[in-house]
Amino acid sequence: MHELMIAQNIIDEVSKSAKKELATKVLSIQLMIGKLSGIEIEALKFSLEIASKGTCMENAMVDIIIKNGLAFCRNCNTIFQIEKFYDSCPSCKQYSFQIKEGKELKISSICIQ
Amino acid sequence: MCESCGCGNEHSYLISFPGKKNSVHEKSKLKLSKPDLKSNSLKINQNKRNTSQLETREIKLETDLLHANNLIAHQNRLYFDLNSITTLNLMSSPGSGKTSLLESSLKYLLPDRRVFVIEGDQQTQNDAIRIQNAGAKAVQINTGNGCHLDALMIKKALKQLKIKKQSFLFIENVGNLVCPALFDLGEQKRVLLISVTEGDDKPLKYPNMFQAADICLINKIDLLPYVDFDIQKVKEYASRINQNIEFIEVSVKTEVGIEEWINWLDNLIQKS
Repeated sequence: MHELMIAQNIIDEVSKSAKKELATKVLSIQLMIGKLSGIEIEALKFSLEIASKGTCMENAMVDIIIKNGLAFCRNCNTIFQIEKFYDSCPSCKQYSFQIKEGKELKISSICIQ
Repeated sequence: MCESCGCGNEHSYLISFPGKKNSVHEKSKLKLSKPDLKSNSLKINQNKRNTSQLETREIKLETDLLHANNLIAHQNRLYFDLNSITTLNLMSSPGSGKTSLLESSLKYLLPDRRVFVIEGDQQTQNDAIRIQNAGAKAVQINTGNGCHLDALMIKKALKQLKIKKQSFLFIENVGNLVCPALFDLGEQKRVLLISVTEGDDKPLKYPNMFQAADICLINKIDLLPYVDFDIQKVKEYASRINQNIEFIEVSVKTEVGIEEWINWLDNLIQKS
């Protein structure tokens, strides 16, 4: 439900940057979204399609890099890939870790003319 | 249609005081254009490129997608810090007992402490009226179709509420264990409420919320003899997801654990 709000935020930020750069058109945008961010990618893609009509982002390509979750085990210092917040360290089976990657939710860059 | 001013904009939210006819009808920033079903759908990673002769440039942004909300949340937080307002964001499923917890808390907090409340629900002023009857000033945000409160709603509600310095502010979020976890409101602490009638695998099913919370209150413990709910299991599951989460077991009905909760709140003031 809130993917539409996030889509609107993306369009606002991109429009601001495009205007600042005196761009006539946004050709593409690059998003980075982590698997642990809580965002539903398909819903976001759909929302962007709808909300970008009539804006500088209309028909722009949207490249989405999906970041896997990466955790650092505080117990044995192992760095491991994490799918869910309740995964354990594959080395020592403990649950004490710090999330290093996977919660990203950002516009990496835009391509303009 | 909005009952207050008759507009049909379903993307608005309403801020009102309980029992008062005048209310502030805020329009959300969100605009929707009609989808053109005949147009091309959004291409992801397609190969075709624009062959125009105009210069093409890549601009690095690295902008957080919740940037707009986080900016306002930061402003809210500064306002709270400058005015020594201890702010709690209270979140749970519908029916866990958020409003009842606040009513019970007010019996202990008042009159020695100043308490203000922002209530969030899709519709009705019911919860704000309950808080007002319990002795605290409250403002109601009706989100309409919205499923969570955001920082801008809180900023607008603060203008209506006029909170005094050195107060507690409780923000009772919309009953929802998913979306509120994503939206920083500017709060000092996030309080998650679950009840023993909900199932002890809640942390595994809603990890984002448990990850985001500072403390989890387990409510309705007076019903433990009648339900299959393993408190130790809940704590163990939650601790896997969030090693720093604290727990307090309470029964709003019998007032067990409420003093421990009030002491936790008072300690926040001393630490700030």
